[in-house]
Amino acid sequence: MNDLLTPIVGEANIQSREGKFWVTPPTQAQMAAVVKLCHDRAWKIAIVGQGSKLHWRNPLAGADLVLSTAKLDRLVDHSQGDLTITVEAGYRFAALQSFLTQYQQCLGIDPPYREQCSIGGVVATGESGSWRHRYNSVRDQILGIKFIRSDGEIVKAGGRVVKNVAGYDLMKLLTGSYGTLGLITEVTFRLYPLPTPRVFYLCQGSAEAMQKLRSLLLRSAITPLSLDLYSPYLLQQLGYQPQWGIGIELAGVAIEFASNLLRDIAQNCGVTPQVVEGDFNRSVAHLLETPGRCKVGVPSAQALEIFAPIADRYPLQIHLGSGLGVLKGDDTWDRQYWQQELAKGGGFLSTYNSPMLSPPLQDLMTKIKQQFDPLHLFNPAGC
Amino acid sequence: MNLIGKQTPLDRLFAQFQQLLGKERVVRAPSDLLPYECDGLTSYKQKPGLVVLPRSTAEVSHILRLCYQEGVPFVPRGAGTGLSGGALPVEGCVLVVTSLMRQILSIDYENQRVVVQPGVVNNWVTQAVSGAGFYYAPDPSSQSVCTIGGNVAENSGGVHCLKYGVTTNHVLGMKWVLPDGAVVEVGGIIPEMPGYDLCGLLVGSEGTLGIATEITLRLLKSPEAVRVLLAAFHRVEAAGATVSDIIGAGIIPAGMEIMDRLSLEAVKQAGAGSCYPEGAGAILLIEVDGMTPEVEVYSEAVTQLCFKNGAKQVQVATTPEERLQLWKGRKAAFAAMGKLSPNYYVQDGVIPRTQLPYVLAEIERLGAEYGFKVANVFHAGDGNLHPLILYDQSIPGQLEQVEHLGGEILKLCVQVGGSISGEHGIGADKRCYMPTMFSAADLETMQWVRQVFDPRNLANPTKIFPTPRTCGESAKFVLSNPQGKENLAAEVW
Ligand SMILES: Cc1cc2nc3c(=O)[nH]c(=O)nc-3n(C[C@H](O)[C@H](O)[C@H](O)COP(=O)(O)OP(=O)(O)OC[C@H]3O[C@@H](n4cnc5c(N)ncnc54)[C@H](O)[C@@H]3O)c2cc1C
Repeated sequence: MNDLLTPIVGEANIQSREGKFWVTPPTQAQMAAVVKLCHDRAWKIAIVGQGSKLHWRNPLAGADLVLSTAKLDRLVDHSQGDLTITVEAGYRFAALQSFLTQYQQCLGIDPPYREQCSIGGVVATGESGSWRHRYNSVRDQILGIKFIRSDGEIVKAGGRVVKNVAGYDLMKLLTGSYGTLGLITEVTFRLYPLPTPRVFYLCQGSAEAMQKLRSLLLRSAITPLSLDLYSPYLLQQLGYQPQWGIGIELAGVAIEFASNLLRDIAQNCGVTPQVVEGDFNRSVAHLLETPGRCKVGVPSAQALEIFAPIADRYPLQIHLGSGLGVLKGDDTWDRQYWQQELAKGGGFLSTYNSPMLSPPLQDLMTKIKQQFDPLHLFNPAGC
Repeated sequence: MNLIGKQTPLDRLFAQFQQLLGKERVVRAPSDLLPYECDGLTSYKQKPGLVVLPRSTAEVSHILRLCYQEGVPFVPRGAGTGLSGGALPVEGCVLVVTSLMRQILSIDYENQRVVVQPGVVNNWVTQAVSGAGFYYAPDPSSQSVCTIGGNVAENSGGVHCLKYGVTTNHVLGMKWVLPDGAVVEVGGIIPEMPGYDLCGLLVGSEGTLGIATEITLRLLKSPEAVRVLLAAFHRVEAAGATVSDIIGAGIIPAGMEIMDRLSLEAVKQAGAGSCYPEGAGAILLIEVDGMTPEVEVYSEAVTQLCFKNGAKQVQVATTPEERLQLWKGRKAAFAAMGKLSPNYYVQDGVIPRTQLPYVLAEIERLGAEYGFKVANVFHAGDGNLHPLILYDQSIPGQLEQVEHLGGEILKLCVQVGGSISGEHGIGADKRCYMPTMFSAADLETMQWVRQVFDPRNLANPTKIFPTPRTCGESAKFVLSNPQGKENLAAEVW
């Protein structure tokens, strides 16, 4: 294997780790050539970015070699006045956000593992975070994508402009596909003006008070950056009272107006917003890291009721705008029961390797995988 | 009808459809087919073989299954306002019209979503929920007639899409009938359900992957404060530069639209632009929304930027009635072109916003070179241009020249890093320009999706992708195998 890889990427870009070759091609063309080689030899490929989510499951299982995008980390184009940026997939998320801060701009994403993760990883997992409330999901930020197909061909879809309906939206298909359809090498995002100044409030109270607060806030004039519900257990872990809580991040020129409005609404619900210094969203994200991390979705209005039976025992965060969130389970809990419970109400619980899909959809998705990767080369552990 | 001799597949379908839907919901008489022979792009015409008017998902499923069994292609149609020939029938096809699927099925304010049938007209959704303080954001200028199903298929935009996104950003889930008649539910009541994002893939598929029969949309709450500013400029380039400055200053208004001198003249003649200033070279309409203090701060900043770029005057509308007045002319602009010229041809290119002044000047130059007047009315905030080429179809050869000019404009858009369509879709009109944006391999990859959903190539065939018959020998392209065994890529680019 080494003999065939070396002429393509050079010795320096091949390592042997845990009994597997880790290949880190420095250009997209070299990456494509390696994929082509794997295609010809039917070698199975595990794709990694910065490796920030390797502990989620066992992504290397079944792979003959590991392909890393770590060296595909170029900034391709930053069009400041157009609020768009194109980067290679190995670019680190945190580095990109701090680069953009200089221009008073940002990506509208605050994913988990944001200190270590790569852009490609964020896109492949489709992981957004609390800012989703204002900016929508990862897929909503992507204007164009370049990826390497399983036969080694580099292809693209979309473009670099903020509006574009030419051709099928393969950006959506690839986002959240966990690297099972293609190896993402380059992504164009829309950007936003950096939301400043910012302030974070935590409101705590009974389930009834939180339910009322949720409803009033969502209907109020306030347009927060994030609006999250936390279980009593999660807040207790962070040193707060073991009560339900709602976190609200406000930003922008109307911050004082919004703060006053928030106080009025909260008072109406019998709770008092407390200002939290520091990055509360990040503390929550850290707390919810693996092991046991599950992605959940519930109709937002039903979240408090549905999770009431376990809220005292498990950390839980629900983004109230979308109903998506994260629940951190442990060895003792009945995951399957919860999977079924949530599915009943149109929601889901997924553990990153076992999404529950109904048969007609599963059939379609299998066909898509088959069409894009007939030899099942990409991420054999991922689907 | 073929009474003597063998029955054609269409004859058999006609009988079966009549049984399924009753006589009045199946149309075959040539004179009754006339209204269906084109969409908003009237320069292409083709009568369908049959028209059917289903009422439910089950009926659509049944219709597609029968088409599948007979190997007859079908074309979905909403209100037929599309501007790329998307709903243009193909010869001998079954046209599936959704105009009887017009129910709003459920509204859930607590979870901010609504479920509709595809034939529901765009602005009925906002009308249904505005009393409760909500609205549906994507608002094409055709919103009083076009359908949600058509919006989904084209991934339509509108004047408020700068801040709030286009159709795809507002569709949570769909009931979808596949080309073999199978019914699937993609997405759900919550965004980002596990698995591949089929809902996101199907939005914008232009009727080539099946038919949407129920659509779950996200509702937004109405903003607390809204203000519309109208700035008048001597030259359209100055209006374009103002747009770049506003975005560059970190302000994202709800919408920013430009109308140039010619389009102002048209709406004035049509009686829809009475509140627009006389003698302006261009106007820029800017809608700012949000919380009251931010609307105040941003309107002030925007006003300053307008004056900095040489605006002659800036008008402000705060009440809903005043705002409606300012928008009225913009929304009537396409139709008003009839006042200036017997025919017009709309283009729909996108460019990076910073390229606006350059591209507008180039379009003017190209228009002069070809000897046509070009009016510009467009979603300036998104860089989505709508050059309207004015011509007279009764003069032989004019349409061909206009199409050629339209093509040159599209190439210009691609050259500066843009796209050949921002919201009207590729349809029948622009498929030959797909190779200017995408390589053979890119197009082949899109065809892989087609292979999965529609291996027999029955769903709105000949749309989106270039074919040799329509695009000539020069367009070397990727063919999807009509037999549907494997895709054969003609590597002859
Ligand atoms: C005056 C005017 C102004 C316009 N302004 C705008 C604008 O601001 N923004 C914008 O984006 N567009 C605009 N358009 C274009 C057009 O209105 C939109 O593309 C609209 O979404 C089409 O809807 P429709 O119901 O008329 O669809 P049709 O024209 O009937 O069909 C459009 C496409 O959708 C497919 N289709 C229809 N229903 C379904 C379904 N249920 N499932 C699957 N496929 C389906 C058809 O096959 C076809 O390919 C404008 C058009 C006009 C005439």
